[in-house]
Amino acid sequence: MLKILNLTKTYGDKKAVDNLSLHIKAGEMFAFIGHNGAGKTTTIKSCTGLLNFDNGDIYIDGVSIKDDPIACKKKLAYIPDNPDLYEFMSGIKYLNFIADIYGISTEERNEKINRYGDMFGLTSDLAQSISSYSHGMKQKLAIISALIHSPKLLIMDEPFVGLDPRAAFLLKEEMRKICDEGGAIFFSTHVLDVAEKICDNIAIIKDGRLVISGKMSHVKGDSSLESVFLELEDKDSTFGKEWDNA
Amino acid sequence: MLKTLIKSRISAMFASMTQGKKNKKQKKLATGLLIALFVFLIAYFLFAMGAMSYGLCYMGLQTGDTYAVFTMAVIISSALCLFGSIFATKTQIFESKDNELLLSMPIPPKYIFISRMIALLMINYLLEAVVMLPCMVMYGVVIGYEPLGFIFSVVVFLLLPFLTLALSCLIAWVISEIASRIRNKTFVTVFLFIVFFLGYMYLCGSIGMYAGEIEDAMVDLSGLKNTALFYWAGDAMANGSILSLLLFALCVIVPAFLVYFVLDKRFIYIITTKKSKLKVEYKGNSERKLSAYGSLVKKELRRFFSSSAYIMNAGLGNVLCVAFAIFIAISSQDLIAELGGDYEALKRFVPFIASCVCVFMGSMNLVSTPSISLEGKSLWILQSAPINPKDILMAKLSCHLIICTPLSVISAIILCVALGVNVGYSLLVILAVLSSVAFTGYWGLFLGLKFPKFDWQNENVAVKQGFAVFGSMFGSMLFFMILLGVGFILTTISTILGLLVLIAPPAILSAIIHSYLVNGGCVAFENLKDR
Repeated sequence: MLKILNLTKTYGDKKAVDNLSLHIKAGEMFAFIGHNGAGKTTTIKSCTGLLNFDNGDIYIDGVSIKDDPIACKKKLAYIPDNPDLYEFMSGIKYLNFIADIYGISTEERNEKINRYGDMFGLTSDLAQSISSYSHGMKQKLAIISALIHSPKLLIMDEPFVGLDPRAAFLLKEEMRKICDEGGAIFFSTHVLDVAEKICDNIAIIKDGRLVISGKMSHVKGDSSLESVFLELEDKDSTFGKEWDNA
Repeated sequence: MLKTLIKSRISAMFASMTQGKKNKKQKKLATGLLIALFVFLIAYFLFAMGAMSYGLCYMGLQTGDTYAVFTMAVIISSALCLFGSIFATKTQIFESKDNELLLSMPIPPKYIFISRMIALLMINYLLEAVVMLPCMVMYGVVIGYEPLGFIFSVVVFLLLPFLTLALSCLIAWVISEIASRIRNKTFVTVFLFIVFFLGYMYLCGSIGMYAGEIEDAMVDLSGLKNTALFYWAGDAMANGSILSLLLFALCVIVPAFLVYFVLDKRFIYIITTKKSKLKVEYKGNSERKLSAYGSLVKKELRRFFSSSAYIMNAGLGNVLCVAFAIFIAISSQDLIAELGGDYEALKRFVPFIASCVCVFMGSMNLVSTPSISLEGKSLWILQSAPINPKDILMAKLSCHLIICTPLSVISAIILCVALGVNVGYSLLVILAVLSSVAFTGYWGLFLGLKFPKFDWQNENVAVKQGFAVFGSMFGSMLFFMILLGVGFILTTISTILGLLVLIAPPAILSAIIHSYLVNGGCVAFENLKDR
């Protein structure tokens, strides 16, 4: 569903992402872990067409994002780390705007707005201006807007930040559902417990380079993800080790 | 601590001018262009005010009413200060984004308040200087100062911004208080602003009328003394009158002190109290499905009408255009009657003049210019959505056309009907207006795309500052001024030729910019992601 091949992105002299390759298959939930400034957001933004990259390519469901960005964007949904939404709109107007962009029928959008609105406890606030929303409410609205067009691929940057425990639980449930229905999820997180519990696969990135990637059980072995992550963070020479399909 | 606060406020004000540039080269270019524009503007003001003052000085010498020179300058500079700083006052004092951060630090609230007031005072001094300095220099050269006059001139110069700042604080406070309690904040803010501004202009205008009468030396000076403040300022500066200076100082210091005292006492309350608003409950979806393009246009329109700063800074030309058309329509019959037989000789210029009014006023409409910068941190929404950049750019242009076309065309029709322009010429006038509206839209969008400003905290920065906004307004004004000049000359040969000058060049340039936007412009929009 998402194939990142030799992705390289530089900012001036600094290589933010260095020759990164990952493959996220349909039905997989893939966690992307790394320290602050490791290159997670740069990778995610490159995958969603928000950032140009210097080398490599990214394929969404077999289509290169360089060749046909619009076809790729139709298949994915993106939730950023900071939900900067249109503050001049109300929640419902924003959702309808997104539904219009993705060409969702009136019946389908109404059904989804009601379902997800009720699920995340946002329905009664949908007529309010987004400028009056808390961070968590904006995050919920960003999640609903991402789910409204039933994406095949959901890419999220720190999706649990700002969510209350109930909303975080519901999001995890919904993520599982998307994967069970044949979709794929690629997300970054610092909450290692969550990644450990819900993800099938994981990749750890350090200073723009892939440290390790593969099935969760293989990467962490008998230890906890936290101890593996901390151990790898301290090492310098394990770049590029791939445990995929081991 | 206070020094640090003032320094940070001033550096923030200047930083906002060059924000949004990704490298040093771009920053240098933007700074250079901005400096060039500022120099041009300051030179323009200095020249215009200098020329006006020069004329007034000679008139004053003839009539003996030399204070009229300063009275006029004080009226103009106070209007400029008030109009130029009122929104800065509103955002700096009442809606500043860093209030909570600063209050959480061990800084006395009084210092926060004082630092903001000093920064605003500096804006007022800058605005005052471009009007008052040339006037003071011209007065010195043409008339010469009384022994005390020069010292009092400096004192008046230093005191005047305290009054305009106090007034803008009061107006901004009233607007913020009312707007914070009402749901339709934008409408109320725009309405109140226009009411206050017109009220102030009326006040200045009525005093200005006296000043105008001075110029004609037709008025009794004892009556003029009733015009108070502006007369006292002029009298103190020109004649070195201690009494006038004291009266002026009293009129400035007392209200300034009162406003400062009240605001200082209420500062924490004002910035920390959230006014309760009626919560609107969502009761089911009544929105209809739109096409992606239709939804983009609707979004742009919604953004425009949701922001009072956007409406007043980018759409003011519409209001001025209609107001001017109505004013000319009302006064045209008297003018025609006054001109008598001469009107027939001048008739060939009438369609051209009608076009000039609409075209020039319309050049102040900048709806499309800040529309890209206003995406700000929300740019990711459009860039991650499956939309062709061409649709995004054309939606922004459509918003400009939807907002500006009807009022410009209505103004043209009003003028044509009032001035008795025949149907054929009326159609050409309307074509000229349509062509100019399209040009301002395309030109603004082009500059907005080339010089965007995304890292703003307050949308006023995107709407009012930066090279795109300056370039769009003054570039299109300059372009139309050249066209008007050429058109006027050609109108002496043929009315149609004159009108064609207003129709063809803007239309051709619009077509060129359109062709760029749908090709290179789309790539430029795509590449905004790397900023």
